[in-house]
Amino acid sequence: MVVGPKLQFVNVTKKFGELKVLQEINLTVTAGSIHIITGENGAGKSTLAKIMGGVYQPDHGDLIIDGEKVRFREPADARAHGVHMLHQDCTLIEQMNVAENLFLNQEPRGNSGLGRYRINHKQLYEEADKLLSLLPVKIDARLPVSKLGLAQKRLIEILRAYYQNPRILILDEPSASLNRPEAGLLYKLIRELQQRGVTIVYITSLLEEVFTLGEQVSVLQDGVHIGTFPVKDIEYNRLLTYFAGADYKERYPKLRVQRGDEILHVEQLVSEDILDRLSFSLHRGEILGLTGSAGSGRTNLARILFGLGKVSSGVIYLDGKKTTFRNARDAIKAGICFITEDREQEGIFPLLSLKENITISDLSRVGNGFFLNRHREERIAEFYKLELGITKTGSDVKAGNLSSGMKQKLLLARWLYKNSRIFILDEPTKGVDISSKIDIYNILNELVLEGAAVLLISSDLKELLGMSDRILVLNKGRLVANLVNTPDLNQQKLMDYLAQ
Amino acid sequence: MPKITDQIWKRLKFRESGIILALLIMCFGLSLATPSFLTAFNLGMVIRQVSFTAIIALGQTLVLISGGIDLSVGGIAGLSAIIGTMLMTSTAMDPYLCALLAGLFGLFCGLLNGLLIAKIGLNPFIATLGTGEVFYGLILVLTKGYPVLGLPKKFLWLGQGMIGVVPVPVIIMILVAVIVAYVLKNTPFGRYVYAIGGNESAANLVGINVPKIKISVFAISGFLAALSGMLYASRMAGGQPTTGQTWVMPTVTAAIIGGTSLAGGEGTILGTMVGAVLMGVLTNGIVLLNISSYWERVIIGIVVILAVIIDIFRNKKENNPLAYIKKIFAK
Repeated sequence: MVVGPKLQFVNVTKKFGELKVLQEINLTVTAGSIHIITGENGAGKSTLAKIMGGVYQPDHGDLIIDGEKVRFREPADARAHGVHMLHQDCTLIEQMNVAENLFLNQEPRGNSGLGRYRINHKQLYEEADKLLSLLPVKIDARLPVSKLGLAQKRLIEILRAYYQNPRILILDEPSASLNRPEAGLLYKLIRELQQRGVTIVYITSLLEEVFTLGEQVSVLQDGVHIGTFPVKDIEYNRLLTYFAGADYKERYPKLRVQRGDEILHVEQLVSEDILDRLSFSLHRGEILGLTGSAGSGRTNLARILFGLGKVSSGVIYLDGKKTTFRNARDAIKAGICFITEDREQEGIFPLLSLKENITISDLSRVGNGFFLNRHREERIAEFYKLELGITKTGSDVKAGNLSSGMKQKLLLARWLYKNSRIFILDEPTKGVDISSKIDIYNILNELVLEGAAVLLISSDLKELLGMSDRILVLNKGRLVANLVNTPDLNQQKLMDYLAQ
Repeated sequence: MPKITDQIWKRLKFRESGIILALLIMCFGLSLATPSFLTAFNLGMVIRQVSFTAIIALGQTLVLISGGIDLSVGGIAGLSAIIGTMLMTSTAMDPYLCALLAGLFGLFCGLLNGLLIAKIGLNPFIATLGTGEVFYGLILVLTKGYPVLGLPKKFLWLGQGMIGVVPVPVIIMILVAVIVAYVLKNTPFGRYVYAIGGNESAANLVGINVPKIKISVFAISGFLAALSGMLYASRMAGGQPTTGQTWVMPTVTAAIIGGTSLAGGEGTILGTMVGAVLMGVLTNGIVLLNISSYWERVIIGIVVILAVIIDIFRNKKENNPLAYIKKIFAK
């Protein structure tokens, strides 16, 4: 068995603008191990992985491999040192088949003269079959990648990286959106590669993966390295405390608000692609949590409520009246707003200023209906900035230059200004730093205090337990739980519904 | 306490300052090199020459900011000019009424572009490349290649007349520029144009009627192209079948040099106007310096590529182009 290199972080610090994502990280990955790096969303795991993979460069501190200081200016530098990183997104080319993808840019060639410019297809498929035999499942080398499921694609990506002879393989949440049996296949392949001498660095936010797969575990919390432990010596509860911090209950400043009238009611909603006979209601003064794993239909539901999806059957009642929305404009007119998960692509206007991003939801009130009044616009922006605690930033800053937390607040300000009554928020705190998160929770409290209703979609179960009045769980398009958030509801119970 | 020079620098460092500076340097250089540059006659000629494509460039700027491109403006200008002049010579209608109808025809052509792009979902580049070709073709169908001559005297004022010392087309250009600039900066419509070009999916989700705005933008572009076509017909005292054949490139060039981003979301009318004048001065300089006119297109092509490279620097937020070039070669 070949033993891989030892990788060390020494005092590594990384900042994005003002936000310190990693602070003075000192961490050692032992040769030949499966080393898990875990922490909550926003703890800095992915940033750490990207520094290892050469995607980011540390502001301070060093990376040391086998005692030798290295500097990766780009991923190719890292690969030259045998450090390969797999991205969260699929990087396979759908139109090509499995073998072509496996050997992309390193196809076996003919060996003489012009033959060097020819791909040797016979050898290509022989090599592919050899490589595919490492997998715990059978995949045909000639199958187009578009025919593969997500789990199989992940396996192919890992194999492709393995073919390039990595000494250290970094996997960033590779099991995301896989179910348990699928994740099991992934674990098998990872153990196989470890047997063959590859050191594995595995990023995950799922604690159970730490125990099924890991040998070493490092915990990050808000960019600080809490500690590295051998997995066999650590208990689940200890790890949970390290993971979330002892004060995690105080992070959710939940206000109990008197529940008001029913504002939205969904009856037997069916959409062709996924949703199956959903019925639930939303009240004024209520934060309704909604969760479900990827593919459960939670985003489809949000889009339908906002007039963007196709309804096959079922009825949506708004204030007791039957309603159909033809498009987003209809939904907005009815007082609904939707802040999607992807605030960069579907939220902010990066080239418009902060104030212009707020007022865009209703320009008729910025002027006389025909011409805009810039002074009034400035006053409106100042009002909402004060309201939401965006005080340190000027109104003329381009929105593209703001931090994630700031962008999220900006989007909330936009819809507050529009006087929306129903806020559909999809992962509103994803990628947001802790202090902005608390600000956002306080804004949610303000919203419900003033009689609005919030549909809070999140995969962060602690957040749902901390902020919601009721929690809905979607599983493969069906509503499997509609629970009042009482103190005896906990993460484990929700997980059970999710995994059903 | 900020230094006074810093404050001056800050004032000077607005978007268009770079290109204005380039224009001034060019004018300064030309006036040293040849005495015939800085004369009222020459400058008047340059600016009138520029005005035809500059008017279209204003519409093109709107389209580009919204994230599209209109390659059919030349065809629309030419076809509208032919239709307008044919109406004048073959009916008894007032020539200015004919010009207005030609303008409406241009608007209709733009509307057609807008529908293809916003409703059916064609790529703007391909859609307008196609319709532009149709418009050029229809010119030949209608004229069989002969110019439309014998325009009413009354109509010639539009392209040849002067108000004081200023040619009428220049006055119209300035008027249109002021209106478009004001609309772009101070109306919801203008804001939506920037918003759509900057992030179309966000624009949809915030409730902007994206197709409506896109169609409007192309319609405006079509109208301005037709207006320019009529001005040119008046200037030439006839409808020339070749009108507009070489006009597409200068309109895009003026906007790009003026700082409009091809990716959409960015650009100003002031920038486009300066860009148009700069191109005019460049062409004029080539003539005055006795450089073979065969070189004109080569030089203009290079200028366009330089302008786009500068656009890339701007997007990379690299303030110092030299440092950026070093970085490229360091790889």
